Amino acid sequence: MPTPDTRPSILLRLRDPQDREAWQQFASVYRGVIYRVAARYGMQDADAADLEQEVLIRISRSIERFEHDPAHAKFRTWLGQVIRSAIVDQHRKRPREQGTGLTESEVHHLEWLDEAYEEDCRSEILRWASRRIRGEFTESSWQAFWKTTIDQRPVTEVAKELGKSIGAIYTSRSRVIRRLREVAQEFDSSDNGFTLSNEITPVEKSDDA
Amino acid sequence: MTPELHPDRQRLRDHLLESLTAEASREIELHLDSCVSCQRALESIAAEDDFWNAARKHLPTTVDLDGQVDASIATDTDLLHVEHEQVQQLLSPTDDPTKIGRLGHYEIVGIVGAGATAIVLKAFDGPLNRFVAIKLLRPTLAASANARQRFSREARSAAAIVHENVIEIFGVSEDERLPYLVMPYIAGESLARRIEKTWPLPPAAMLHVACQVADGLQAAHAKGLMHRDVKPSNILLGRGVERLKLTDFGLARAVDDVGLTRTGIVAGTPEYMSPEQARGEDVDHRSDLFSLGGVLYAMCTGQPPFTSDSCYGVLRRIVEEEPRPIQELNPAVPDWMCRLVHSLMAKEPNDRPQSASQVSDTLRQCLGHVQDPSVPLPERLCVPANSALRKWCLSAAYASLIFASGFAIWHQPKEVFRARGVINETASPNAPASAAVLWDDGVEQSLQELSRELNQLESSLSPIDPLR
Repeated sequence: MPTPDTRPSILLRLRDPQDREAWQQFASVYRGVIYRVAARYGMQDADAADLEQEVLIRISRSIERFEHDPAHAKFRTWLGQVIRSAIVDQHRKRPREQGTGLTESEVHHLEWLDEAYEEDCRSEILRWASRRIRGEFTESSWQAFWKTTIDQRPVTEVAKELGKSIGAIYTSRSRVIRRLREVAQEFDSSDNGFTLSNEITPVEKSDDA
Repeated sequence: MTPELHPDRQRLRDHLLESLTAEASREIELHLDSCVSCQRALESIAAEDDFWNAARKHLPTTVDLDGQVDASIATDTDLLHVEHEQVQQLLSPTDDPTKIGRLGHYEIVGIVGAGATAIVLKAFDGPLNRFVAIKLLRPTLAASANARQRFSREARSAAAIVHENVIEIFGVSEDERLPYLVMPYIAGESLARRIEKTWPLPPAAMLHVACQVADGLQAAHAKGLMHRDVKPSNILLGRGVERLKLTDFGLARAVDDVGLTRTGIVAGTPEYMSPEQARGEDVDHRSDLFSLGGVLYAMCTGQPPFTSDSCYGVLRRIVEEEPRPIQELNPAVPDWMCRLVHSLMAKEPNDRPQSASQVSDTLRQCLGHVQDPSVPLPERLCVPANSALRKWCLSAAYASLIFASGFAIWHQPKEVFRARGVINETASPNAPASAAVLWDDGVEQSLQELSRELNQLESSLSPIDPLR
């Protein structure tokens, strides 16, 4: 029977090269985040894919130094810096015409993206969580949630369509969202209190940007 | 529950966590049908408004920024679309514009279905000029070497079962990296679909289906193989109910240790699992018999025996609860059928019929009875399985025994006792000896029958009663 997930934080699990599931889980959330950030910078598909690759490589190089320290920041904050410096590097390496679509000064003023970046993370975590829990629910329960909550259709209409009672629709959608919240929070909390041992700056040569 | 009696927050929370009984949950849902304040309360316990809003805001897009369809999207069709692309990457190109690719020498027409473990492709077998169904381990699962090996192994053992009610397996792929098996393409519908479309089914059809499933299981069990996933969607009916095929033998096992829910794909329905399966214990062939009972239950009532929103909720019910009485959902189902289902669905494997062949014999006899009521039902099914009913019958039997003996003694005491050797010959010279013996024979026989039934009832009562 499924039991609540009590394994250690995903970031710590990443240090175990055998734990492929941890990496998959991690990548499936943050790949999306990196891609979204790239898109906000106006990058083309191919460049965005390159950036995704580059950032994931940088993360994997730092994995052994991941440590849990409640006094420290979120992993996401660090990741934001990694993405940013990777963008700067990519921009520098390429001639203007095939570049990132940003002007030199825009690259130097990336702070405006911070808020959007937080939203991107939140969005990707929710989407990952919903993919993950979908299989835990019966199809009609999932539909009850999706059609009334996400598509925002009237409960009575969906109840009729699915052959369920109104009370059952309220029940199903509440059960789904409770679980969604649980899984998203679990991921989120694993993100808190993150530090790199030795406190080395995440990426070399990024500070002169 | 009347609208005035609102469930308190703790009870709503329990309802949310699926820890209430099916009956208690039904009551709350009934209340929630019309009580707006409890609807609100339930939703606020589930998640704060902010979270509901965040879900509304962030989940709607079905297509990711990079063009990938998100697996959490609403419909099965969309989900198939995701797999479609994954599958297409596995296929080699084809020259035939009407096909989507090649797999071995098979020309793939398209995806026709997806289950928890596998995707079903319709394909054309050129050399043999026939359509086939190819069952391919889901790409998500195929990432696990363990799942691949198990899939291939189970498929090979399933191929060894030769029986008219078990789907034939033409071949199993030799390629360990891409496990698939090839079966006949059957145009008909599954029992699940049939129940959905045309429930209720005629009693004879129900028994006919169950008989064939039992026969198919018997053939597998004889080879030491279990099905592990007997359910209406794995029973293919073809055009009628006369020649059904059981599919997906042992394949459920391929994902045992993969942790299905973590892969994000829709897990198979656990609604027909046995309690021992639900607990994750080792199972034997009697687990399949429990599932067969569940299939019969679904045919009788139009719904699976145990339902809830999540797999977890369903599994908990399977282990802890009795299914809702069949006659509450369909009063037309005869008592003996309820008893049959009840015995198959005993929580304890030892309390079930012990073999598929025994079940098959029982079902055949029932079928005979349905087709011609003068054919007697199996004796076992004439004994009420419900313990309350048993107690009632027991006292009724005692009463009639007392009445019968009283009647006999009052009416013709001497003959009775003489025949039993209690009174000697000379006591009643007027009564013709032969008639007395005949008459006495009848009473004696019914007394014996009654006491035999009583013994039976008492012995069948004893293992069950202490548990209640």
